[in-house]
Amino acid sequence: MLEKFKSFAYEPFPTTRAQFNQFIQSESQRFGDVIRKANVTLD
Amino acid sequence: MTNRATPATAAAPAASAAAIARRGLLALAATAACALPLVSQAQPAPAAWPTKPVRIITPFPVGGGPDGVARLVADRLSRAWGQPVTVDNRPGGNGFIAIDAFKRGAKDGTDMIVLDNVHLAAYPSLFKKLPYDPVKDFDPLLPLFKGYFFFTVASDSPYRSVGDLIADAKAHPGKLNYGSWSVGNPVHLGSELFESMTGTQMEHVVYKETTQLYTSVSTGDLAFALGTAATAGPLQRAGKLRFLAIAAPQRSASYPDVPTVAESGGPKGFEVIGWNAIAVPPGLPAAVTDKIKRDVE
Repeated sequence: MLEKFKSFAYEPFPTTRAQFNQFIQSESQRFGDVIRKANVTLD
Repeated sequence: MTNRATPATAAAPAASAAAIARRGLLALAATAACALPLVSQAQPAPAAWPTKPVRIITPFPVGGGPDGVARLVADRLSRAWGQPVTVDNRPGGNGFIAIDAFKRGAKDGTDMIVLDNVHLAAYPSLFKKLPYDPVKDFDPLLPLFKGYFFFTVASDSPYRSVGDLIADAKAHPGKLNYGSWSVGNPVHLGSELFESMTGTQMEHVVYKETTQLYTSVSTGDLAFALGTAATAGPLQRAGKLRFLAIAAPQRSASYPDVPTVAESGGPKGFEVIGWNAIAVPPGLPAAVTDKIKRDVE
């Protein structure tokens, strides 16, 4: 299974909870920018 | 009823003390005869959690990368906790079916959910109305993994680099197709970002499922599609797909021969990442969230 994990090219991703929340925020920002720029909407 | 422990119950397991704390005074009275000596330590002991089977709800179907990781985690937690930990696949509906099951589930942390990055980071910008609140409904406890996406092309594609692809897209504005499996997934949004960073215009084709999508790349129906090694890997290993480049800051240790997008004539800093996180209901005791986080890691 771990071998499979590696073949997926997945990387472990250790963070503290504060770092992870910060990461989620920066990801939201990044996605938000693309969505606005590309004018993608749903519903 | 006596307040003295009998020799037979002096070795009552610590778990019963924690159970007493939860069941309250009524239960305490009923079991006082045998368990009173342990009451003084009857704090909600993290060692005693969970006391029932645990479910990991996932929006991903059986098979494939994210499901595999969820099963790996379930197996590890089951060994650590001595409780059955099952993976409950609830695919479809943008993940809303899984999220709904989670919202109706147990609030004590024994129902967890695997979320895709889009649920926390993209959908709030994408949907005017979401059937969940990314902040109020989840405590995103820890990320499970991240995986970068590759530019996949047919094995006989004329493109030898991302630079070739950009040149072709510029020469034929609006003519090249790329694919993904929905509007608003990391592959779609990543491709949109690629267009915007390279000043190109291409068409997005939505496929029902990833097998069809990457098959269409392999037959040349699509100029390219972004894909992970987990999803596109089988066709790549079968020699039907080529990984042109990886949309990451550096090469992958698992695919050292595949250049980064920047090395392959593409824009610098172009990254497309997928990640999954385990979330629990907000407001759980720190002893429980710390324990989950520690035992998964």
